[in-house]
Amino acid sequence: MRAVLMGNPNVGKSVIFNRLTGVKVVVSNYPGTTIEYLEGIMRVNGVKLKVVDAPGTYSLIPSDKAEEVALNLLLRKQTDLIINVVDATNLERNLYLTLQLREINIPMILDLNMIDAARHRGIEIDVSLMEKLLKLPIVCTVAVSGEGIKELYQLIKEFVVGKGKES
Amino acid sequence: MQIEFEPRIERAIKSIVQKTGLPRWQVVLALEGLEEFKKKIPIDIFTKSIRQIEQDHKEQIESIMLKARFGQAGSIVKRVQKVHHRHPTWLEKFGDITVKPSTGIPLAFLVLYGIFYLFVTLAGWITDKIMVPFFEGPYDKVIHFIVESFFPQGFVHDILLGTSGAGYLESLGLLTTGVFVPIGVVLPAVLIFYVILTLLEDVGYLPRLAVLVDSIFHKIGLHGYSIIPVILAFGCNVPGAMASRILETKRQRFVVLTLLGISVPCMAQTAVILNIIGPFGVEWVVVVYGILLCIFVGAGSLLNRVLPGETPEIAIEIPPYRLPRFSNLGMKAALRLQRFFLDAVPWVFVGILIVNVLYTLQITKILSDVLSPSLGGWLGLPREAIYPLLIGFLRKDVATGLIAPLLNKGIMDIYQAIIAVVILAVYFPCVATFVVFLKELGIKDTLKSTLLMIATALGVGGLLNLIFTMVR
Repeated sequence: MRAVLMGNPNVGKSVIFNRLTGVKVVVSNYPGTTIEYLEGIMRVNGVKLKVVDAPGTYSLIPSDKAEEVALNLLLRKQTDLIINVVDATNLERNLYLTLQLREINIPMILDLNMIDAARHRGIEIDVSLMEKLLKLPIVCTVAVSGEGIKELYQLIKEFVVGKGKES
Repeated sequence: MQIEFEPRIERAIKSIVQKTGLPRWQVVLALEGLEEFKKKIPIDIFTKSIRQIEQDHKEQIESIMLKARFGQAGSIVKRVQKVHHRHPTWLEKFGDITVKPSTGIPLAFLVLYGIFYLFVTLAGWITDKIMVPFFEGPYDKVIHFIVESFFPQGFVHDILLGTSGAGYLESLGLLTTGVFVPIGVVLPAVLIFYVILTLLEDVGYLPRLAVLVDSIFHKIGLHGYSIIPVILAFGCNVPGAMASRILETKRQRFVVLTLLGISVPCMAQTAVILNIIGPFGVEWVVVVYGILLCIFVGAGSLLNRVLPGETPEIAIEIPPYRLPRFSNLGMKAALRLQRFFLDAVPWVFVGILIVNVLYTLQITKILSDVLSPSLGGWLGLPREAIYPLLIGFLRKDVATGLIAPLLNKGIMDIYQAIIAVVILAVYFPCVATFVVFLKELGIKDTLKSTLLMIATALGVGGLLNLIFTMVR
């Protein structure tokens, strides 16, 4: 099984990738740090899940080479799960990509990252309403400190278990 | 999940889906402008379905879809998000100060000067006060003892320990120069550079620097964001060249890569330049970097005029300032150092081995006989300069190091050394960088870029020689 981390540049995909797989990645505070993709393996319930850290992209219509890489990672190979990492402090701009991803019929988990910075700026998000509107499970995380990563892992596990029952 | 658009767009989507049998999501993405799926739809079906919508909106379908998408995103956000008013934090205020040109530009100069000063002092201190005493003291004794107890003399002895009596920078033994250059000279510089770079990256200063240099960079056909590959290239040209992918057009990537290859010396080169030119005075180091900066600007504006196409304006995202996390700083610096050891150190060994073999086989003698007229005439370099120029294809640090003995023995004067150092920086990127060039540009453009570099090297080298003969 294969999961792809998708999201805008500089939202923390690489940190989440590192948290999930243990693979060390260069992480910086500017858009465009990941230009090549990285793959790592995480074990969920005895199942091997390949996790791909895609370069950041604002849209599925690519405008540079790194965005092309991201699109190809999603469409060229069998993708079983999209983990859409979203910057909670820039919800509207990030949702643009989320909605595009939602068109594609691939199961998806939404990760509202940097939720601490959002709270700090006085941004309050009604997560359960958002889950209903987008029809997907949402988890709030602070990737750099590890907050919420357990819950994200739990959501991934539920997906893998459900997938196992199907086949 | 199906996301609804306005009725007319929905009708167009449905009619295309019916006529082509493509899944809905592919049709939607095609309307949004994804070429790959657009190609799957026969052109007449596509234009017929959207003609009326484009006429009504007086806009291209891509921008109609773009607005529709943002509309959808906006209406969701309106329902789920509440923003409470709050005063800007000191980090945000500081963020504004650093991008406003009136305060940002002086601050940028201060930051860059501070970095340069810190870098030179710290790296120099580590090399002079820790590395040199260690290598010339205990390391030298141990290594001589071990090697000489196995090979008292002969070829192996010479390859391992190099010319006896010569300094560690110039003796060209695998265990002397081969270990001293990467670890004693280059490592301190790389270490300090990466710690500083990582700090700047994590805090979020680089995109702000990009905004400040934007108008200057437009004159050389690039926009400000190209400062990121350039700064990374000061560490090592390989990641710098790879970071050029964040630029949208092929033209910009070509310009950035060529400029990197031509005029941005990597840390390995910088370390050795500081080591051999530094003792003659900091002003000579400034001269070298001044020349390289002139080449950067000159070659850039020339390329901008000659190459067809324009530099598009872009909107770049500026992340908020964040306080760096030491765990990330440590991990990143360690990752980069690890890459340095794995990628660079083996090449240093190969370079030194080749020098030794060429020397023993006397191939360099033949080459220097053939090339010395042009070397001596146009560039004003002694025939011995052929060694560094050859090894420069492999590793710039070993090559630059080879200039040291020529300077010390009086075969070259400081002017010739500067010409040689500049040519080494300009004429060709090292092998590792060349491979990235091939990958990013393809063979044809890489050759173009390489020819440009060689031409610039010869041109600038000759010009410097002319100027220096006048001042000397």
